[in-house]
Amino acid sequence: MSNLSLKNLSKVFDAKTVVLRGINLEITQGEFVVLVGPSGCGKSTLLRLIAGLEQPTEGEIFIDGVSVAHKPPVERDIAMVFQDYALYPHMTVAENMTFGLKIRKVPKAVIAEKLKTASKILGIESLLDRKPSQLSGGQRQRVAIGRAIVREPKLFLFDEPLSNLDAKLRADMRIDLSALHQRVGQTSIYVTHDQQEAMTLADRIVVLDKGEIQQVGTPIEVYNKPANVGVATFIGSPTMNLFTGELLFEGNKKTFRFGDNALEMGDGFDTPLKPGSYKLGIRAEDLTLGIPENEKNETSIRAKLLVKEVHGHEIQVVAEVGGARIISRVSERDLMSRITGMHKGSEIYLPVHGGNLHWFENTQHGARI
Amino acid sequence: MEKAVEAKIIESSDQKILSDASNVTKKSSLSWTHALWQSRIAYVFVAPTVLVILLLVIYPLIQGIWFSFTDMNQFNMGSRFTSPSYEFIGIRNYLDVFTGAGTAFYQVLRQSIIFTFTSVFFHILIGLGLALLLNQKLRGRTLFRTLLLVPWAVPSFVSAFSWRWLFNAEYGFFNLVLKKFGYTQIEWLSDPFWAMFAVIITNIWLGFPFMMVSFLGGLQSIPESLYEAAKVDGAGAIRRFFFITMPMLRSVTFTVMLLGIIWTFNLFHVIYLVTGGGPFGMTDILPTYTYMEAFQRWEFGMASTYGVIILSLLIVFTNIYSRMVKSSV
Ligand SMILES: Nc1ncnc2c1ncn2[C@@H]1O[C@H](COP(=O)(O)OP(=O)(O)O)[C@@H](O)[C@H]1O
Ligand SMILES: [Mg+2]
Repeated sequence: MSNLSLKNLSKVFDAKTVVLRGINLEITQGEFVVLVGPSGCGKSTLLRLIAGLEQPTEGEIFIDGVSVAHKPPVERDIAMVFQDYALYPHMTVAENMTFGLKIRKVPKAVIAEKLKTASKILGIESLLDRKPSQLSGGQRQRVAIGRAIVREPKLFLFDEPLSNLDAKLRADMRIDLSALHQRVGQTSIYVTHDQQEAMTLADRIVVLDKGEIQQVGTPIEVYNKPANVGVATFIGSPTMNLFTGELLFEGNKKTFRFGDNALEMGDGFDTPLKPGSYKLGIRAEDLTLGIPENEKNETSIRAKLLVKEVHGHEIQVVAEVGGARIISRVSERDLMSRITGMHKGSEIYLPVHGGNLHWFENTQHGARI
Repeated sequence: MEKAVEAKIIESSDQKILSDASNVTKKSSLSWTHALWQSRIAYVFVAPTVLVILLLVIYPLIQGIWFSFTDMNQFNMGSRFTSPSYEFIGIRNYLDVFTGAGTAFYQVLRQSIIFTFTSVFFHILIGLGLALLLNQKLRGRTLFRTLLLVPWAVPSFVSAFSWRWLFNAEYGFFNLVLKKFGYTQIEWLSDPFWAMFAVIITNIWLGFPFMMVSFLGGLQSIPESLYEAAKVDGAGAIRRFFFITMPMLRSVTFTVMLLGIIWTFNLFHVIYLVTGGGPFGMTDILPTYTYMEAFQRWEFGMASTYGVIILSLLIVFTNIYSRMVKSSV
């Protein structure tokens, strides 16, 4: 049985702002599900519907098979970690963490035990008597998570919990959160606009855009088989290269024409079955820099070098093709040293790995072929 | 390795700063006139303010304290034709005040305390209540908020006069209402109890908007997410009020309570305009009584003594209060 189930959930604000429509989702016990999408797409609203902080306009919410859509938060047995932590400023760390238990009239000895366990897991035993104002951002974050785990709820909800931390701390907390989830094993729904966070944390990713679910899948599925242009360009860094053009069939030869470029579809290239107008997506790692001997190849894209972004373990080559940007990731050492010698404006050839092409309909929605 | 180098750099720069600082102190101890000269522009800029404060605050203050040790009155204060002949009498004024000889200090003090604390209590009660109401997402709350500011926006002497008329025994609104419903009419302004009642009501009317606005500001600065966290933790409306709203309003409450008490304790015009301290001084508070000493009985020495006592009481009160606030926050 699924732990959380959303059925045809919609939310309309002020009778006109449609924020969510037709959300259907099944989450099984113990899963770590990440809701990801651009800012304003309705992630927080969806989480707040699950928490009971908002009422759905339409649809049903089941937690462990019980319909809770119109019940107050207290009857849902969920815990939530807020973006700004929402720690009670006038209470100590210990009081913050145990407030929910006290309200539920849990015996004092049990509360003390749970507080001890949770603070040990999070490494905040020494902070219990402090007020939130005496804590660093990372410590507050831990306390906010601690407040959620002492309750041992049916569901954990996280609303962009790491977005107020600096990059280094965020990466550390990400690992801690993964470890924590493995240890506690409770169903978690995690909201973020950061696709990298989504990829690294999730058992399953739910991509949300414009109030609708675009795709549900494991991080690898979503990365390798994005359901549409929106998902393709949102997931993955750097952004997937996307070209709009015509696929032409001439005898045995297939060519994709975009701008003044023609990319020949070589052996082993994935292509649609019919000629026509398409969007072609190529991830940066599926483009390399041509090696001198066969640089000028029909299955390469000809481009002008714009910028070389050095990342240490790789160089991201940003080039221009037909007025659009194209990004390639170069990580072999000899290619990296070759690119360092090149100047802005140099003509380069980027051979394409034909096995990982992403074809989309040339429409607004751009569904995957 | 890198860390160590960094630490050394910090250390050496610290030493540099330290030695710089000791240089400065040495130099300045050599010639403070030099330092004075160097910051002359700063002195020029603060001079007007210092002058005005000296003239308008410090001089009258010192003069007032001096007068409180004299027997100055209208006959010996001096005039165009006679030179002043009042004399230093030590602490006799203070002795008279505290022994109750010839002045009504304890009675007036009691009235001051009743007036102040009753007024401030209701200011806070009404202000907080209205602020809580206005903080709800009610329809027309902007209109109500504006209307509730009226007592504050109208010049307070106008309001005070209006209230005096409302309390008027023969033509006043309240007595007309009582008459209409067949009740005995009340001598609002000539009965000691009702006169105090009248000035307190007037002052409550004048003072609650400030408290309301302060509390509203305090309420609106409480992040919504705290309430949401409390809801998720399982707190109902009553618990949210006592565990979130009240504690979060504490510093605002402390501040407005202190201000309210100081202002009300020093309040002159409401009582002067509504009852004039009457009947028989039964609604006098310390500032109005001081005024009567000075400009009705022309006992300037005694009036100054009262002034000094009011000042001292407020200083003591403020000190105790701020210590209380510090220890509890
Ligand atoms: N209480 C509300 N009233 C009206 N509109 C709202 C309300 N809450 C959110 N919205 C709107 O809903 C949209 C989605 O908001 P939100 O769920 O916070 O997005 P996200 O968390 O994905 O950034 C936004 O356009 C926002 O303006
Ligand atoms: Mg959000």
